[in-house]
Parts: sequence; C-alpha cells; structure tokens
Amino acid sequence: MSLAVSHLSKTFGPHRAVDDVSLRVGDGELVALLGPSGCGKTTLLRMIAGLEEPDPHPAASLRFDDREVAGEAVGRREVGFVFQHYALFRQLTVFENVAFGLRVKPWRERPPRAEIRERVLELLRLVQLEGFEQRLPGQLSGGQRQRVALARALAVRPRVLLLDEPFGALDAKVRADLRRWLRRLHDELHVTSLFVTHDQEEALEVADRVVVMQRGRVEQDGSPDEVFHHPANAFVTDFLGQVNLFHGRVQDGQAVFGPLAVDSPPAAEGQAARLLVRPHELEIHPARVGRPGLAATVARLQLAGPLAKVELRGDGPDEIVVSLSHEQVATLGLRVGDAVTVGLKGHRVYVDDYSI
Amino acid sequence: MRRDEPAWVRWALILFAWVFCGLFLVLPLAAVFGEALRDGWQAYLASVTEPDALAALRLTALTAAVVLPLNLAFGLAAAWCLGKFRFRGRALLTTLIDLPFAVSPITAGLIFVLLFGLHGWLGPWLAEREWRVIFALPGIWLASLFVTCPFVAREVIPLMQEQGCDEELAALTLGANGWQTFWRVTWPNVRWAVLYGAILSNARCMGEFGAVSVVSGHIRGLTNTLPLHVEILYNEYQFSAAFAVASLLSLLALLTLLLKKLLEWRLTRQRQGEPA
Ligand SMILES: Nc1ncnc2c1ncn2[C@@H]1O[C@H](COP(=O)(O)OP(=O)(O)OP(=O)(O)O)[C@@H](O)[C@H]1O
Ligand SMILES: [Mg+2]
Repeated sequence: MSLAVSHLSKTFGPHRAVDDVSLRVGDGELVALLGPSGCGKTTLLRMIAGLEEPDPHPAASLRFDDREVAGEAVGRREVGFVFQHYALFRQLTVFENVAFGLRVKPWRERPPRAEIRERVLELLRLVQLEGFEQRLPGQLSGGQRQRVALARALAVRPRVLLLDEPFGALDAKVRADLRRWLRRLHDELHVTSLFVTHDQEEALEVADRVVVMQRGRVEQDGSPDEVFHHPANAFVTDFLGQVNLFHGRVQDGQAVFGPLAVDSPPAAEGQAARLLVRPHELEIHPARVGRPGLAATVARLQLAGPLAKVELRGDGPDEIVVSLSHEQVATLGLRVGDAVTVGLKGHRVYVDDYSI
Repeated sequence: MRRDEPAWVRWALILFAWVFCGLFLVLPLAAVFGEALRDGWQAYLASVTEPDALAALRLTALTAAVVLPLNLAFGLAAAWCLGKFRFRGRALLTTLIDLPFAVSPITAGLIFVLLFGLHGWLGPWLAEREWRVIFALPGIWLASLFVTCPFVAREVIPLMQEQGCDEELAALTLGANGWQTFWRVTWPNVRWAVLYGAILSNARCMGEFGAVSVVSGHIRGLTNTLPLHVEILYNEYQFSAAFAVASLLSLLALLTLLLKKLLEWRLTRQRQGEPA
C-alpha cells in the first residue's frame, strides 16, 4: 500500500501549521519526516490518520494506493498510529492493550478468542515483550511502553503505519538500540511507514527516504545520502548536522570569505554570500608550513569519541569546529594555543537570502 | 519535614486539634445518638417507623434515586466537554458549574419559586395544565438537583484534563466507535472519581435542608424529606423523636465518610498507576 499526500494545508487561526505539503511513501517504504520542533510534523501525521481535518483546497488529496481517503472516518482508514507519548490504555494490561483493536471489531470481522490470543502473543514476541502480558502500562519502562504501543498499532494489520517521534521520550542509548530494532522489524514486516523525528541522526540511520520540513513546508525530499551530501538549501545543510558558517561577498564571479575564495553560483556582484562547511570538510596545517587559508589558533581539543574535535578561534565571532581522526591530531602534534591555518576540502556556498 | 519547634509546642498543637475535634465534631454526634436513645430502643424504633417518618424516609430515598442518575449524566457530560475540548468560554463554563456552591440554598429555593410558583414566570402556564412543581415532588427534585449538580463534574473534570484525549484518539485509530471508546477507555479511567463525586452528591442530596425547605411546603407524609421532618418534630417539642430521625442522617454521614475514605485510597492508587 502506498501513501500519497498532495497539497495538504492546515491553518490554526492565523497560523499555518502545514503549508501545501505533498509527499509520497512507496509500498513497503520507511520514510522519515524530519524537522525542528513546531514545524508541523505531528499535524501532518494527524491529518493522514484522520485525527485532524485538512483545510479545504481543490487540489488537496490523500490517497492510499489509488483510493481517496480524505473523506473517510479515522477507524476506516486502517492506519496504525504510534503517539508521541504512547497513549497506552492505562487501565488495561499489556495483553488487552494489544488486543484492543481486534476486540472492538464488528462481530462479523472479529477473530475468535483463541485467534486473538495467538496474534497478541505473536506480536509481543515480535516486540520482545513475552511474559509482560499481565503488566499494566504504569509498570513498564519507557522503551517497553513504546514497544507495546507499536505492537498495539500493528495488531490490526494497518496498511500504513504512522509513528510520531517514537523514541522522543527515551534516553540516547535506548533510542539508538530501538531505532536499529525498528529498522530490522520493518525489513521483516515491510509495512508502509512514515515516522516523525526531529533527530537528524535517527532519520539518516533508519529511513529509506528523508523528508525535511521547516515552518510547515517541505524543504527537501530524498535519500539519506542525498539530503546529507547534496542538501537543497542552507536550512537543510544546517539542520542535518553541525556546520561552520562564514559570511562573505561575491567578487568577480567568486565568493570571497576573507583569505578563502571559492567559485560562486551565478549572482550579482557584491551580493552577500554564505559558506557552509561541515567539520569533516576542513583541514588543518601548522601555521609555519605557510599554506594559504584562514589563520586561527587552537582553542580547545575534545579527544573523547571516535573522532577528535578541534575548536579553533579565528577572526569571526564563532568558533570553527574541525573533526579529525586521532592519528591526524597526533601527527600534527596539536596543542591548545597553537597557530594553524585552515583549508577547505569541501563546502557549499549559498547566495540566497536565507539566514541562519 | 523540619522538626525544630520544641516538643511541647508540638504536643500542645496536637492536643488542641484533638480537643477541638472532640468538642465540635465527636461530642455533638454522640449527643445525637444519646438523645435519640434517651427513651430506650423501643421508643427509638417507634419514632423511626412511625408513618410520617417512613414517608419522609421514602421521599428522601426517592429524591436521591431521581437526582443521582441525572447528576451522573450531567456530571459526565459536563466533564467530558470541559475536560477534553478547548473552546471559547470554557473557563467561564467551568466557573459556572460551581455556581450552586456559591449561592445560598435559600436563594436557590427562591429562584425556583420565582420560576415555577403560582405567581412565577411559568406559574400560569403550569397551572393551565395542572402541573405542580412548587410544593410538590418535582420542585424538591429540581432544588436537590441544583444544589448537588457540581459534585460529580468537579471530581471528574481535573482527572479528564490531566489525562487528555490521547487514549481516546488511539482507540479511534484502532477502529473503536464512540460507544466502545467510552466504555472501554474513558469510563475505566474515571469510574472511581465518578463514584466519589456520586457519594458526595448523594450525601448532600439526602441532607439538603435550605433549598428543599423553600419549595417543599412541608406537607406531612407527602413533601417532607428527612431533614424537614426532623425540623417539624423539633418544633413540636418531640425531642427524642427528632433526634432519632436525625440519627438516621448521622448514620448516613458516617457511611459516606467511610466510603469516601475507601475511594480516596483507590484514587491515589490509580494516580500511582497501580491496578484500580
Ligand atoms: N490544536 C492546535 N491549535 C493551535 N495551534 C496548533 C494546534 N496544534 C498545533 N498547533 C501549532 O501548529 C504548529 C505545528 O505543530 P506540530 O504539533 O505539528 O509540531 P511538531 O512538528 O510536531 O513539533 P514537535 O517536534 O515539537 O512535536 C505549532 O506551531 C503549534 O503551535
Ligand atoms: Mg510533534
């Protein structure tokens, strides 16, 4: 089952929470909806589930395969929704939570008791919660609750699975484990899924495709590779990981940032330009070698972690962050206070009027 | 808690609390039962089984039976709409629900006389159809309803607000209809609070004097509730009979306290996420 959203908008009073969004999730695909807090991710998801009515618009449509579902009631859409804060039924046991969707079916479609039991136990096995059937949600940890919520949504065999920040409330270690587990689960089940997150690492690691949103609009839609290495604009570049930002101007067809000059996209002479460089796209040389580049001094060395992080102080107000392997740091013999020059290995230049 | 006041201050305060409770709460209660039994068990039984007393008891029970279901329905509906939805005027409505607590019961009774009495706004219209409200049972029910309607709503609204409507939405996405959502999700979450409110509302309903006194007309055997009957007996200097009937109301109060305590214990357990 594929999901196609076209031209959906949602206005709350004067505020446009979702602004003319179109996107597609292919059959069996796992797509991440990534954006900063308040950009309209939850609202979009709720519209797809039918919990929120989209603004009327002639071109607005919401299709599951070729079926238009915009007018359908929530219960008929057969979507599984995993809420940002789980929303487990607190008075029901884990078993009854998962069985809920099956028990409320009209009696003609309702599976017999034994079958319900079998299906619930199978799902609990799938989410690795065997033996927890009789617990109440209040007696589970956050990660366990999250998995119950997922099992509950999967019980009715949804055609589309919508996950709203499924790991939002968990600590970093559990998050990392669960997202890898979610990916494996998805590879097993192949249910068409759209999952919301504001954590770029999570989106890049788990999803087949990433849709980046800002202020209710889609900024870019592409594979994790594409959005990371070929971000469509300065917002996406900035949002998908740490960047160093330099301000400059266009001169003679080149964008000039102090001692650094790079090819500029077509722009008027004298226009303001921004250079965005990720920490791993910078290189460091000792100042005495005399290479061209930005002059800076080492302000701080962070040696914990798989890569070393070097913070440099240049002319600008912000620190320049460079990531190097530990061997490189050792070879260069870097110490706090050393004078160095910084060169570019890769970069992106924007002359649009976007400002960070 | 810091314990830096001298021991004698602590003991004095505790002693004061006990003496105060004893003098103003326990002693009067004991006096009621003492007076009621002054002339012995025989007299006591005679006073509470005399026809007028039985009629009053029946009317009080009937009133509670009529008012309580309406209270439950109103309380749940009001709590549902105030606890689960955001709309303009919500805060005002929440305040208005408490109005019956703020208005003196006598005033409440007078409002109904003004509305439904013979010379009231709807009086002539009712008289034409020979429907009696004031000095009849419907008036007593209306007055009781008015003074007791906030109890259930007040207990349930904060709980529903705290719980939000995520669970209901989850039930909807799982294919449940409105009815199933209410009975399987909403009701189990609020049932102890509803019962708690119902018990308080019942106690108030059975004990209400002021508002009911204005609209009842005190017709013996017909429109006399237990509290009104106590007053009549007292005014007729039948002290031990008055206290005997009053002791029934006191027993009701003790029972209410007991149930209330049990429910509070349940509710705290539910808040802590244990089985309820
Ligand atoms: N019911 C509502 N009434 C008014 N404004 C709303 C409502 N729901 C959401 N909004 C507004 O719409 C915008 C988008 O909200 P939404 O919940 O979709 O954000 P989000 O991307 O899910 O954020 P987060 O990552 O913090 O969950 C926000 O500015 C929010 O204030
Ligand atoms: Mg959200």
